[in-house]
Amino acid sequence: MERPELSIAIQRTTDEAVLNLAGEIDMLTAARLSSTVNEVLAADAPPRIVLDMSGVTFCDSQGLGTLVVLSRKASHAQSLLLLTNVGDFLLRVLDITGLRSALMIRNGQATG
Amino acid sequence: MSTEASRGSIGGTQEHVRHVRLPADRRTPATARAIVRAVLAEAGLDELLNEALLLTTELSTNAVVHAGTELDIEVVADATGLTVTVTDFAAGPIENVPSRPSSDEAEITEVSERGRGLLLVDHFASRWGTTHQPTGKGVWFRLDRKSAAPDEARPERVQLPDELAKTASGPIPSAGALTTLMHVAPEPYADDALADFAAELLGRVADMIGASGGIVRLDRGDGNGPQVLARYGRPPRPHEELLRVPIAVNHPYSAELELDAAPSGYAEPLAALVAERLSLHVENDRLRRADLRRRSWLTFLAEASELLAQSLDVELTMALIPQLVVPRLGQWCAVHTTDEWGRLQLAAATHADESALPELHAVLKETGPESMVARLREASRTGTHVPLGAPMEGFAVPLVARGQRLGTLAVGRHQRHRHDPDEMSILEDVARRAALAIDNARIHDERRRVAHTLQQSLLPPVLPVVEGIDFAAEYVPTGDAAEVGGDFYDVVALPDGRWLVVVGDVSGKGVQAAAVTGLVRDVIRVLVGDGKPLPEVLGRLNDTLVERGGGRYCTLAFAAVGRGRADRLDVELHLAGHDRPVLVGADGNARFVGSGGTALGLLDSISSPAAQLSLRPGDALIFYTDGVTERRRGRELFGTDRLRDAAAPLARYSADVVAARLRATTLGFSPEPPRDDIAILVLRNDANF
Repeated sequence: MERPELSIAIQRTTDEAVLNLAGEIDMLTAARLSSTVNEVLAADAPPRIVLDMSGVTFCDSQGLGTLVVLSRKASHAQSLLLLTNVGDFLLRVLDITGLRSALMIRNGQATG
Repeated sequence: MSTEASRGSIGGTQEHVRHVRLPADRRTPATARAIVRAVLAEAGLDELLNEALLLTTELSTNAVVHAGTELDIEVVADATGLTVTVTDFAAGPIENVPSRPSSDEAEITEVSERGRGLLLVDHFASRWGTTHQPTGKGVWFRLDRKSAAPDEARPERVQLPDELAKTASGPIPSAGALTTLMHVAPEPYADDALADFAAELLGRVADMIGASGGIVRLDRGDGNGPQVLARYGRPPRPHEELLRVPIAVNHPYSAELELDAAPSGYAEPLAALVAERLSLHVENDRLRRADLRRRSWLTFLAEASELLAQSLDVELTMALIPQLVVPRLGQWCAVHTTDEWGRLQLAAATHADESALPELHAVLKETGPESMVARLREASRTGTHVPLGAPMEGFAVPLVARGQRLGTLAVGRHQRHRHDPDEMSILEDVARRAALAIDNARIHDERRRVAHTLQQSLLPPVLPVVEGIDFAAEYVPTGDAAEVGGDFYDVVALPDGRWLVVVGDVSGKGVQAAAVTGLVRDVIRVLVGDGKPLPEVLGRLNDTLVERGGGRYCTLAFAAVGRGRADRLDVELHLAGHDRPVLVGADGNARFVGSGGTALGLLDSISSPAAQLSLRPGDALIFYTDGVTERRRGRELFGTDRLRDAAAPLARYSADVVAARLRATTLGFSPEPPRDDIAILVLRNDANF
């Protein structure tokens, strides 16, 4: 049961911040994701925040809810929250819950 | 944290089982995932990994967040799939369980982060459901291996017969579970024992056959349609195969058990068993309610009869009937009576909804072949009940008493249902009783009029005005206006210029007494008109009464009054068993005069001693009947002494004042209405006074 729960690595350029997420998003880790993104938005909100989901092995409904809330916060701060490399299963869950339309998803695109 | 792992072998397939108790902690979902991951790897069910991890997380998160207690996770995997049960230790209902939000409800900005968990379980699980234990409640889900269905969508059981056979057979019911199913019994003192019992049984059978939901519907035939008696789990999805078993009950009840499970394997016989157990108790409920209803109808009829029987007033009876009927036996009620020409006249109407009363009156006023009134006439003519059509639906019952058509009783149907046969017969019963009450009240009314007419005819309308003699009389009939009393008085001119004063009391009351009173009065008038001496008049009267009086007797005070010498009045007084009159002197001295003779009509021969009195100017002679002296206050009688004492102070007053005062004193003696007639006659020597 010892494994990294969720690691977040941030790469910043002038017009975007890329957060490489690896691990699991659930009730334990969603709060940390939320506070990290909030910090990025608070410091000096870049026009674009990219969440690279390629390393995410699990995300539950609470994690998805957090992503939606963050996306809304970003647009309030005149920023855009973008998800990339979203796994197939997660896409299905987004469809089922009807949350897909509330998120910006760019899969299979090189986003620097 | 405690962990048990076991491998069992049931039906030839290997089972991988983990049972773990975890704390209410934010790390618990991750731990639960690790356990599921391990079991799936052991069982070679990696294809279910994504769904299994997601659903396990959703259930354990819900338990941590909502129950806040430790939770048990049980993971069971075999060759065909995986079952995970998450049980908490909080009492109370499972939140959000029946939630299956429709797609348009998913207004994203409004939906909380939580609450999607069960939606996902519902979507991904092959089956899921809840369990209730005394210690807490659990949610379980089953994921079936997809090998037979490469299609990633949730396997539709109906479309996949192979899959169906495997999944629907469900777990084999244990002997223990079966025993419980048979031993569940209703709480004898619970408020709604049947519903509780049905819910318990439903929950248990759903658990046993793995149904994710179920309903017991019961239509009590009371017009409310099928009602949910007990519900379990989530409502069934449309187009899905349901297991339906009718519950055998008698008319007007109908009931059904519905389980969200395919009708195969053990499901069908178990459902049939439960339906059979339910049918016994539902039937019991039907009998109990029917019994209660009958009993309450009996009470109602008894009360209605009593109310109707007490009312001897026609108007009041009419007004009472709709009050008895509405709203218990219908929404509205109208009573029509047949007048002397056979036409129906509205006597009283009422509507449970006050605002609908004008409409009811409007409908009742309509005329024409299809109108309400035409239907009422039909009911009255045919003597049977007649249905009434819209807009005032209901039916009309004829009011018939002693073979006489008295009118109709129209009753509107209930708001939600028509009258059932029980109510119809109750209404007919009410109509019968109402008709009798109306008839009784009418007869009573008639009797009262006869009594009044008789009484009036027996009293002299006006006393004669005689120079020098002042006459006055007071008469109070008994409290019951329908009874004729036997008291009478008369003042008759005698051929010799004197006046005859008669005050009498015929025994008994009623019409026969009145007839004898009339006889006595007329015989006296005829005999004295012939100039017979008073003792002979009394003798002849006695003969007549013995012969024709029908066993009734009569007391009389008989006084011939004539002018005497020196402004005096000579009085020849005969008393035939009557109370002695009071002589009140102008000086205020009051005494009884005369001596008692024999009452008339009892014996063949009578004695009637005469007393000669001489009234000085201002003297008054007071005659009265036993209505005065026998006036009661509790056990006490007014009595003759009290009368004499009341009369003494009235000396020197005019005759009508004396009579009026004595009447007031007598009536004022007791608060009760008089039980007997009261007659008082006063004659006073008015010469030069």
